[in-house]
Amino acid sequence: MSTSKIEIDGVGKSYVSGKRRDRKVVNALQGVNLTIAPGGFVSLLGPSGCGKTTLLKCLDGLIPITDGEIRVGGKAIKGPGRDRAFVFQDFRLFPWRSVLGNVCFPLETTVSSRAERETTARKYIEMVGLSAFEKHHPHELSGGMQQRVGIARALAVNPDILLMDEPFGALDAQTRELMQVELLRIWELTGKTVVFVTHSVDEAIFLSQRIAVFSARPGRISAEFDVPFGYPRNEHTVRGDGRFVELRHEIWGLLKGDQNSSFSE
Amino acid sequence: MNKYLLPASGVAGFLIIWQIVGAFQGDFLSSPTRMVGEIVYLTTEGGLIGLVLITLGTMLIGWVLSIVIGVFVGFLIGRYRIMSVILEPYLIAKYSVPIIALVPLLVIWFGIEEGFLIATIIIATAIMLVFPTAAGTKETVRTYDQVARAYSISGWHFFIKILLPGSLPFIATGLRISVQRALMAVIVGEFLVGYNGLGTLLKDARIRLDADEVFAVAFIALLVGAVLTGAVGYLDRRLSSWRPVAVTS
Ligand SMILES: Nc1ncnc2c1ncn2[C@@H]1O[C@H](COP(=O)(O)OP(=O)(O)O)[C@@H](O)[C@H]1O
Ligand SMILES: [Mg+2]
Repeated sequence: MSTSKIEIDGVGKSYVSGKRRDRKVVNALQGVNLTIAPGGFVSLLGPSGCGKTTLLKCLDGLIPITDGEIRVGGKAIKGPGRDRAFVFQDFRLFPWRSVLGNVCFPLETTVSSRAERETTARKYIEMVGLSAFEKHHPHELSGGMQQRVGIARALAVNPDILLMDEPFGALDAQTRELMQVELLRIWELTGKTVVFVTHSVDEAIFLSQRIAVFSARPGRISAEFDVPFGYPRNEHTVRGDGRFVELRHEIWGLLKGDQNSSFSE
Repeated sequence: MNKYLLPASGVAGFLIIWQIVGAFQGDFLSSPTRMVGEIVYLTTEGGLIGLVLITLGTMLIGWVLSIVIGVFVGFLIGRYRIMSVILEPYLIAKYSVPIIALVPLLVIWFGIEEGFLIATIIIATAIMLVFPTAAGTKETVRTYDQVARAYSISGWHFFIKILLPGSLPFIATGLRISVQRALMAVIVGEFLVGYNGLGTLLKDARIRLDADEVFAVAFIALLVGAVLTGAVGYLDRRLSSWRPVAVTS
């Protein structure tokens, strides 16, 4: 199966917490199947608590799966690797490092020359439009700018796959739209495979080629949708298109039908 | 301006009353002028500056050792649950036993020289670094563990690049609260065993029932303490200049 970059094959994940008597088992994921093509942009969409973050962390190898297999480039993953990079919802930058320092960080164990690290880091800082801010510290930046740093840090390791966990969830609506456009530009520029977690239907439609809709408890994929728009995408033409409205309606219906859903627009 | 007016007038009022009362009961209460006179005398005739330096030197050695030990133990406790299970009972016991109860033991182990003073400082202050460091370590691990693993940073790199800088603001808190206590510990230690230093001056003063000297030494100790606290505060601000002002999240 050399045509798919990521193969998620019957994946299950249960969390065990507490000790002995009050041991609790949460089935976060059960029987999840999904394949993602190289260079594809796929969104994982679903209400809070349905296991989107869990699946993304399993994809990165940050947490072990309890069932099934995840293959990247045909090989089962065993843990985090340089072929994948994770972008966190709350950025997780190092406040004691400058923008440049944050983006250099993942290179420090692999690239021994400081100049070389900085050259690489600057390339991605420029790509996210922060060249003028490389000496700033995170607390001097807006949320949107901080997430740009988060994205530059992820790009710095030159991964094949970007795993993004509601990266714009903490941003205000306007910044969010701006970042969506930026992300598409970077994606087209770099050709990465992107797995993008969101609980916004509009965001999923606007960004992705394919949408996997989750249902909760245990988390599984209840439907997959192809998005009928090409790239580059223009917000206004997409949102005004009849197919956008239709797809949006269809996905909403699915989410509302999920009785466990705590969804609201 | 107004910020300083009230405390300043408070101090002035206190000095005036002290001066007046001291005029009648000088041998018991001393007075500001007698105290200043004593400081001048001690400086010119009593080798005060040398004694302050000896006390300060001992204190710094003991304090730095406390920091090293306290931070190390704090890291262990914060990083490894098993270490907190093993060590916590001792630390709690340490908190509930007054240091003075350990003095005879310390004398038996370390004699009555510098070793005793340093041990006293460590026993008094190391613990003040343990818990802030442990808290900082836990917090840092919780926030950055997955970032580190996502970017394949582990072991020594994790310690140097993440754990240490992340816990630094917490360690700085430990430094701030422990510096005064380290000074106090060395002075009390000197007082107890008569090792040369500020504490020994106090001991002499007690033997000679010299209130002027007691106040003079107390004032000098206050001054040294203030300078140390200021220096630590400065260090703290330098070390964590990246922290946004007055924000905790
Ligand atoms: N470390 C954990 N321990 C126990 N349960 C967890 C843990 N992380 C997540 N869960 C549970 O797994 C389910 C899915 O969580 P998550 O993947 O974060 O959902 P989402 O990202 O879709 O909001 C939730 O019910 C959540 O409470
Ligand atoms: Mg989530």
